Amino acid sequence: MPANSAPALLIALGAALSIAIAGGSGSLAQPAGARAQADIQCSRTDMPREFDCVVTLSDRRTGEALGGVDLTIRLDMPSMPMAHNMRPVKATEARSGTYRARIRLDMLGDWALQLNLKGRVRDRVVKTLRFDESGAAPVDATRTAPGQHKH
Amino acid sequence: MVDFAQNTIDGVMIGASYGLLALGFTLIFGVMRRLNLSYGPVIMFGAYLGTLLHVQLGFGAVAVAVACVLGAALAGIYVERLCFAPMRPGAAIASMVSSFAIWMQLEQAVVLLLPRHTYPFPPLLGSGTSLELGPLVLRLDYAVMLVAALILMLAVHVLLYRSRFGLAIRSIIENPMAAGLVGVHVRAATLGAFALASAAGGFAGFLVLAVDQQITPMFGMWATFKGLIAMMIGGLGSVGGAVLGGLVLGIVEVHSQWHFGPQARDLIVFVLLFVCLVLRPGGMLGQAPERGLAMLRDRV
Amino acid sequence: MDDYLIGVLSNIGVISFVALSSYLLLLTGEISFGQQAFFAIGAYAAGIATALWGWPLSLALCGGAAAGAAAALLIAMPTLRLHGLYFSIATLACAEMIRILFELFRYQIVVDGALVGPNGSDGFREIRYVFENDIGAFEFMLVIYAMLAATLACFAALERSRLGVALRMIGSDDVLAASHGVAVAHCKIMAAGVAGAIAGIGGGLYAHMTTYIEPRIFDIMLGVHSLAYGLIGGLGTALGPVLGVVLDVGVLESIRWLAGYRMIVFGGLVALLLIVRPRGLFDETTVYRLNRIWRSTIAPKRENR
Repeated sequence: MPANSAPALLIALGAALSIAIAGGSGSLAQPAGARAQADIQCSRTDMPREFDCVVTLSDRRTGEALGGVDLTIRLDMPSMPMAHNMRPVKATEARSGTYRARIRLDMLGDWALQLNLKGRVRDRVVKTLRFDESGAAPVDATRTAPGQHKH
Repeated sequence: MVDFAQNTIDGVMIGASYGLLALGFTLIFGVMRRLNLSYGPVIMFGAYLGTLLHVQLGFGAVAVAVACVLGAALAGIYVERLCFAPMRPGAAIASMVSSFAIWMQLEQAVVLLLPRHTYPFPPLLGSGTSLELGPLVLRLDYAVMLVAALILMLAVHVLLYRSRFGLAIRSIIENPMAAGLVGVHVRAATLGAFALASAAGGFAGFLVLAVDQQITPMFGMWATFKGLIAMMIGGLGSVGGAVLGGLVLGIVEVHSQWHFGPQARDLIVFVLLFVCLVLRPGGMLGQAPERGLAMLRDRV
Repeated sequence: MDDYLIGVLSNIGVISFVALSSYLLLLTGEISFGQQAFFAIGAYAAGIATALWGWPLSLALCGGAAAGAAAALLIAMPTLRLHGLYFSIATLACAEMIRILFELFRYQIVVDGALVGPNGSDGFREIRYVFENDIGAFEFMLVIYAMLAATLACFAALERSRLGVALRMIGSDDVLAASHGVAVAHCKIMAAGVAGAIAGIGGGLYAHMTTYIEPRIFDIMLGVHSLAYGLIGGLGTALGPVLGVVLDVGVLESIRWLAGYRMIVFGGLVALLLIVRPRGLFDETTVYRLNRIWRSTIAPKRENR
């Protein structure tokens, strides 16, 4: 290819790019049906870096328990984005609206748990938890930034 | 007014340890003309060895300090052998990325050594007590930190300016090729400078951690960036600049945290760093930027 | 394909955008520690556009790219005369400034009866466009790779153009390039802007892939990693950074059985690789040789047929 045709090629590719994006998008978002409210409690187990999590799902508007949902949990670590590719964990329903899952983490620290609901209700809720030796607690807003020592 | 004086005093004391961190950093940069990102993790490795002695065998501050210094020097030598010595001239960025890979290694190594997130670190002499000078409060462990940092800076200065080894290092900083031509054993002196800088960093790390009385695996990153910021504010490749940069960083941090909180403190520090770089790239006491540029000619 | 594989491949695709963004600046000889900031700006801008303003995804991604480019241009102007370590640390300072500003950034409005929008350190949840429009994980992965392919094609065109030559000239010696009539300042600012746009697209894709972003995601580690990818894969071709990402994620995933020793093994491997190949697997010389082999042996035969 002669060198001087490059700008034209660039423009053509730019156009192709915008068509590719336009093709990948649908119409404006429709409001979904029932939205889920999720509460998650994780406690340590005898194994290091393994935690038992109990998820309770309820309808955000009516407050009734959401049973019969197909629940999977994806894990990611916000301080190391996309570095931990963990297999999604499937939760089992213990009683209506209460689900259990055992997760094994690559390391302790703050994790974002993406709860994917399928089946009766389709929704997605993200929870951030701090896991340490004693258990797990919600990451609170007043935390200090990582790596910053208090003086 | 009292607050201002109090904050300035605290800032000077914290700044002294930053200055010590920056001193090691600037020594490595001066000799290598390359950025050693694993400087902080090397210090952390030494500190974790010390913590291991403290936690498992109950050793006190002095033994821990020795372990910090020796462990850091050892890890520093490892980094020099793996990331800097075997690299061809002109592969500056490969050295930098390689030192980042070793950072990851060291971070995992300390977690294997001591798996919990936080461990206690032995306190310095006189922690918990403070002197009252009129309205001002002087924490005794801060004062010990300041004195220890000053002594070590002086020792490094004497070593650099009053010994043959220091002369060799300074000649390499000036011009490595010429130093080799006049008979300086460049490779050996470089390795020595690397170990010395890591050991100085290890001691600075010990002081900071002993005041905090705890250690986490985040410390490596913290030490690299505090040292880097202090070095850049003060000026590349100058001992005085490193100390001054550390003091400025410490004072600015304490004042801005007092007035605006921790997030704004970090914001203000980075704004200061950016403004310093854009307006005076050579740093406050650094050489003219052209000189620094020549150092970086073989950058990518 | 199962969820795990789709997740891994999507991650590889998204990180490649940041790696390519750093790579473009490496071509001009500058090491940037700050490309994660434009990734962050793209993520926030695209997320706000779909979740708060109801824009379609395509427009939101363009908006994210534009925001990333604009921020990169703004930062490129004052840092233009800095070189080497000074430039690197200046970009680091800027990126951290932007990250801390996102920690303080709150902009929430009520959508569907719930508050949605960036909420400082607590992050930005519910970027649900992909979810609500029933775009599956696999389809979204195809979107990511379509855009990555388009970006790589642009890089291929750039390498063949005079502009690409000019950028590499600046990279090896900017004074010499200037004396050959290359508009150094112009080229550098443009490269910075395009790099910002590439990172911005990646950010927009990332925000919609995870539906959740927070400022900590965009800290310096992401920036240093993205630099390392170019060095691992090779600086001779735009495929290098992508190869670097594939190697990083792929090798790390395949040595999962090493558990706690993974990073020790992997870090050592990278250090050894850089001793043998300081400019990556596919460095300029290798790419040139491969090109010559292609031109002299394979390409002519095809024409003869």
